[in-house]
Amino acid sequence: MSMDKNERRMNEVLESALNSEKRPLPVQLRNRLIAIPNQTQHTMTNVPKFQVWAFAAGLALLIAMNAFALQKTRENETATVEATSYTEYFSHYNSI
Amino acid sequence: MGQIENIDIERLKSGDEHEFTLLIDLHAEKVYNLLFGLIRNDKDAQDLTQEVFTTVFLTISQFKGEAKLSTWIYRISVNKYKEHVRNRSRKKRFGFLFSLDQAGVSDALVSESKDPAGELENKERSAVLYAAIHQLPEKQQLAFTLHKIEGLSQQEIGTVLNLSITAVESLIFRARKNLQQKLMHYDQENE
Repeated sequence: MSMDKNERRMNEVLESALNSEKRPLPVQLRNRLIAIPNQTQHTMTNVPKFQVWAFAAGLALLIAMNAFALQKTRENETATVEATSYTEYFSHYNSI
Repeated sequence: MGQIENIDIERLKSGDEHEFTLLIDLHAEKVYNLLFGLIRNDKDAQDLTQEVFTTVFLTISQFKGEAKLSTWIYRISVNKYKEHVRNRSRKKRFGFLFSLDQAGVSDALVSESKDPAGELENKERSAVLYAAIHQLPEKQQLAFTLHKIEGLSQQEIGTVLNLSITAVESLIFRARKNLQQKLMHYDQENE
């Protein structure tokens, strides 16, 4: 088959395919598409400001409590180390 | 920016439902036909069309008006199609059953013609052509479909596919050659 004939054949096929192929937009699809703005707005529900601030305050309180507890633990550790050093230093008095 | 292709972009950006309906009436059929032409499955084409317009609605604020609105929508459609193909091959890799919806293909190929013989011939020709297009590499398939079936200019296709005009020309040329060969094989087999 020559190239010209091939070209003609493809154009013929294209032409006939294009004529039969254009499909109208299904009505139910159009309805689904038109409903997009409503559906999207429904899914984007706003969280009340009070809840956001309450969550932030709770988080801040937790962090503050952790910091306080850490500080207290460190103070206790320092006191224990100091007490151990004194005991060891004056331990020879025990044998006298 | 104002009005583009009879659509008031500013009103669209503010979420105006009437403007969005206008956009759907102008572009949804083209998008649906493009996706159906590429996927050959009515249900998937409908679902993807819905995804395209949801993305359009959610990201219209990012549209800067540098390209035509229709070109921007085609770009979203092509990206959704590529995503669909990737998901499909991933599903195939995981062993899910996938078959081209032959029923969908044949339904789609039924023309409005009242002449059963002509209808059958059209149906067969369309089936041959779309099967051949389906076998082309992805970029050739997209360039050819956008050019020949959707009637986009080479410049618009370049914008949609992010390619130079020369690259688009080359893709369409190679697609034509490949299709000619495939149709020739088909003719030889049926002679």
